[in-house]
Amino acid sequence: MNIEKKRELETMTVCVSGRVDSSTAAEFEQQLLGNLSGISRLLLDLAQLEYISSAGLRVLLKAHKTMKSQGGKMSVQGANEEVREVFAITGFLEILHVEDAAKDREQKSQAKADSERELSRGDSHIHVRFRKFQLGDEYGIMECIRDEYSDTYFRRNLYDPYYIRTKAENESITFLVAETEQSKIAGFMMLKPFQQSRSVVEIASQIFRKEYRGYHMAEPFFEYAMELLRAGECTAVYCYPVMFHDITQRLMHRLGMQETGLRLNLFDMTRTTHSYERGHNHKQSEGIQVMALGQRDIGTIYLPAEHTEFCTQIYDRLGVYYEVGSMSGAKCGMQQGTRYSSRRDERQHCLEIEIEEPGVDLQQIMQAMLALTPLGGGWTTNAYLNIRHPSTEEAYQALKKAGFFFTGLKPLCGEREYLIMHHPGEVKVFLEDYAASEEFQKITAYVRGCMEQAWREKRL
Amino acid sequence: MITSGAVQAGAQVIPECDSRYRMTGSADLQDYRNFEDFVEYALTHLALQKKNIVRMQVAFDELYTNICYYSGAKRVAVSIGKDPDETVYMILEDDGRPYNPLEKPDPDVSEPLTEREEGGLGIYLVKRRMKDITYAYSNGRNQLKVMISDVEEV
Repeated sequence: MNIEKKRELETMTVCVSGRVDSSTAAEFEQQLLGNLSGISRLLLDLAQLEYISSAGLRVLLKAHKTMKSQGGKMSVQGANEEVREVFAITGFLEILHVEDAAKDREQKSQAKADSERELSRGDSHIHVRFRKFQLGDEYGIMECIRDEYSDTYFRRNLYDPYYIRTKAENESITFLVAETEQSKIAGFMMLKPFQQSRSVVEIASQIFRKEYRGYHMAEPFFEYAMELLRAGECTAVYCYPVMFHDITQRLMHRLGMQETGLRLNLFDMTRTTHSYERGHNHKQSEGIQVMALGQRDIGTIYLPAEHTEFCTQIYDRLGVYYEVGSMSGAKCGMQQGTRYSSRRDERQHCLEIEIEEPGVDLQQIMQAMLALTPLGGGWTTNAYLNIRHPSTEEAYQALKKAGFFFTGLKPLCGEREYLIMHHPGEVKVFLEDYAASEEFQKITAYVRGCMEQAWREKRL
Repeated sequence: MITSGAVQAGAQVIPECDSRYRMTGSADLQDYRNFEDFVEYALTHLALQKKNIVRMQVAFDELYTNICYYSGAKRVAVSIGKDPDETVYMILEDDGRPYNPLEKPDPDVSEPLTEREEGGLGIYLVKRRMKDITYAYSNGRNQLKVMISDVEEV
């Protein structure tokens, strides 16, 4: 732990970095409370605070009491997600006046954003209010999930009310709900930042209770979400509609989202219940749809020669400015080590690999990973290749040699740009059984070509 | 098996155990730093996500200091490991008075901070942020096991 103090007239600013726990709390107390006389405003800058335990909370409470007793005010700024979560759980968030610039902006945009609608299905009419999460909604949200997926929904965290509440409280995920006049949660969705960034947001988990189908609730609900996002600092929105029904795909398209690719074989359908047609696929897939909101110029991307046309068409439809970098100009060879991360979903038998910087060892790494996670027994792999890196072509060829085929783009419009490749292992893919909108049919047709090429070349 | 440069003299590391990482030390805050290093070492080597490392570190802080302050224990053992389903666990054992911290009522966090009774926040924090916690007393030892799921959010 390290502490820096700065005093200006009656304002004391204290920057705390490192850890405040049992071993450092005493020093924290001494430093923080040591010299508060004559201070009317105590500002704690916690941007560099790694974590805080209850020993540290006790010190904050003492400081709060001291400031209150001398008629002053104490506030906190810059706390990271973990620290905010601790504050949220223990009730410190409200009381410490934890400041968050993004939150202020959101609150301003929220005033106008609550939205009420009259909806009808034949002769039946309902009144629905779209709004942000309030305490207690977590149980209604869980009922929506159980109604559609019983206990098989792949986002396992959403079966935990504490998780929902905490994420909503510390605002790392925005939950939106559709509430009826009887105060019942008819449906919900999540706005989930892409890797902590607030500028790229995923619209996720749009789930409605079956009894409210047919009221056309989804479209105004999405419009409400879009309105919130436009009012914020969001530069791009994306979503992953499932391919076992096309309702969300069509809706999102009507709202202006563009189809960019597929994430194949993410769910094990033998372990998932849902209320739609099943078809032959043992594993099911998601599409990717994207809409650019703010930033229009995304800079240079590098594309494999055989997919340049397909990819540039997608970027053109997204309406962003971009430049396709030329490989010959950047022919400096690949770097030595690949930088990548991966995650395994044991439940869905799915391995996802993000390749941030491909290196000469990429093919070896992929083969090693496939050896560690043998692609039998329903295991499948998706690789996301960063196409901001000049070695895209070499990396693409290496992935092809390792048995992967192209399935589209995940273009986050300025934040990150990925090309997606898939290895189905032993899982058979019946693309014709997907419930795809016209736009997604074009994508699946293209992906089918890539998959068949892999068969022909006996890479699979 | 553990061979850790982070664990210093004075604390005893016992390699044979079903847990992958285990360390014993004294229950009087003397060994706090050693334990802290050990916990960080073990969690880092289990390749936990950063946020889960932090949660486990806070949990360790709360549970270990509770033992030191209130249990009358002389020795503490900490074991850390990971199950095949990505559940990471930490077990704290001590030879103090039988005490189940899970029985302690949760503080009323909706009450104004200044009017709250002190204490109880630590174990409450642990309860709220762990996937599961179990308590057992056997062979003259308190055994508290906390578990966290390290499956990445999709």
